[in-house]
Amino acid sequence: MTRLVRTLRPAALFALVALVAACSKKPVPQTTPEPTPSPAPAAVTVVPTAVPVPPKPPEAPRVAEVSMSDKTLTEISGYLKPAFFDYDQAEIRPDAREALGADAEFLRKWPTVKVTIEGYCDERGTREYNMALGQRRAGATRDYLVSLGTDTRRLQIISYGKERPFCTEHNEACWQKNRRANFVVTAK
Amino acid sequence: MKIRAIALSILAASGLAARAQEPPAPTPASPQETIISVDITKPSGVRTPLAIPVPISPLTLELRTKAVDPFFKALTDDLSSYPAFVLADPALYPKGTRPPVVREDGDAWIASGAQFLLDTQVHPAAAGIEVIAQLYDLKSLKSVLGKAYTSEVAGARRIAHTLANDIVRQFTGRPGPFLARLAFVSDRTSPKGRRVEKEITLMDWDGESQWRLTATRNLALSPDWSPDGRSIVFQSYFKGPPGLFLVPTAGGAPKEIPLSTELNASPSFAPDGKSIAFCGAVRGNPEIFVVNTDGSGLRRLTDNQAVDSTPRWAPNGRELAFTSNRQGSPQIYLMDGEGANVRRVSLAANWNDEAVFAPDGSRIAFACGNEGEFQICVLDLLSGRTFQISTGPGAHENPTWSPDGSKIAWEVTKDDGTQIVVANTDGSSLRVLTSAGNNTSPAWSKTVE
Repeated sequence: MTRLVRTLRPAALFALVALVAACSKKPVPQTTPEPTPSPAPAAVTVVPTAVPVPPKPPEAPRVAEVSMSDKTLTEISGYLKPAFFDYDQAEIRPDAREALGADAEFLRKWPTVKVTIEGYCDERGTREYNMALGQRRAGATRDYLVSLGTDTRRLQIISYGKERPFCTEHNEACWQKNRRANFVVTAK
Repeated sequence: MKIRAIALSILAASGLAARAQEPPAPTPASPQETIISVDITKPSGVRTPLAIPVPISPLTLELRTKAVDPFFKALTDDLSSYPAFVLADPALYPKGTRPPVVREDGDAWIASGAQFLLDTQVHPAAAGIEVIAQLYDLKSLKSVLGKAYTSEVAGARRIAHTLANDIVRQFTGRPGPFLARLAFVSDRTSPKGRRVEKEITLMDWDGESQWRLTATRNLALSPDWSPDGRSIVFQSYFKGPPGLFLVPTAGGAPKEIPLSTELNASPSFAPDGKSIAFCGAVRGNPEIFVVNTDGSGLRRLTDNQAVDSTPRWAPNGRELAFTSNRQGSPQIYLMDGEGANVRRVSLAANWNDEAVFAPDGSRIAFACGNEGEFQICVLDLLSGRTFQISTGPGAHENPTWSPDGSKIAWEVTKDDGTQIVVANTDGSSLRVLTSAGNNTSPAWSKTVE
């Protein structure tokens, strides 16, 4: 939603500028004043009969072509929802399907966006196997997005295993945060 | 469910079967050694008590601090931790009886509990220092080993490790592990508040002489030594997607092994040094691959929809251990070098990984556990029996064998971080080797040097 409001902003700004311009415009004289040598002619003030009403801004435009050039890759990455996984699993869960459905929709709207899908694991597994499991999670996420129509060439995958975790506490809430496939936008 | 230690036998060095590939006898460049006399003593099945008194030394206080103290500490640390020895109580050492010449001298030392006396002297020498060592059999009063070592002053600890290796060889016929080194992964140079960086770091077996080998400013993980000790292969992200790199252990720039696979994790040098097994991924599926060190000859050994990871060569070069969840949970399997004859060898615990073969190929050590509670287990491949060698809280994982098979190092993660520890293969003489930053993934060099 925020995204749409932001894309609206240029249009709204234009409407506002048009309104201000309309209000400050000098009225065109209705008649040519007769030449009078003296005294100096009083300023002619014509009050317009009606203030022009600006057209109502249109409904939020859905313009997919607009670039995201004003946003950083990190900001755009924030629009993509991570997929979370069960312990020692790389299956796409129902909640992950929902998140990835929205992600696929986003990627459809922004066809120039490319992403790296990063697979992560919680600290309770071994270092080496987790590195492979993280790859599996990233791969399963890529496969799911491709099944929803995303071009696989836009999706690179990488595993971090249990390196660089999102959360470093030792409890299930934290572990769940770390069992994820995370999106990093690499091109916009 | 926890695995219980079924039996903890003292690993007598004599019990180590002859290795298929005995490394060449060590010829250390420094220190120089002169053999005075050697008399082979039969190995013993129990811990032999040694007396190791402080060296006799006419050195100045400064040289004592720089040479004698480091020498003596390294020597006693080495030999007191070795499974074939136990140190007699220094409080009971007699005075003025070195070297033991008459029967009364020998009896005075024997009264301290010792069977052998390692008598050392440290002298100034042109090169720096000279260490003269004599090992006396206190029953016969004969010197069974006598050597002189010279080096620069800074080489005092290396003299100690060389002497300790020679003492072990005297009793077992093969040198100890004291000149071998460990590579590991450390985040100690990672900048605060930024993404974590990890670098390959080296240290002596006792945790001394730690120095950073790589400067990737990214993640450098899972080091493994080439069999000749000249290079280390590791996984790194510093060029983007992770790849395998070779770096000279003497220092230098890492060279990438060109690969068409993704992931490229957990490299393991083949015993002939010509190829490397690793965990690569195609279409998101991790499989075991082998590739020549120049990137040629890539071949896949596994083809399974499950996760296949963590390949480790057997010392005979004909088999590999690896981890797979093809039967539900991560377990250890063996296969031959062509990927055939796959068979599961880990039975207990629901998560087993990171198998490493003992240098003689008779056992594998691995991380065994359930839901984050990992310990180090050793499986005897002949009997099928499993022993747990680590204890205590935390996640114990990533074991690695010393090249002589007498010790295992691994990483332990507790609430305050991850550090590397070392112990004998029965879990005795545990010692913490690291403290700065988090330190993981120890890998022992494969030659005794």
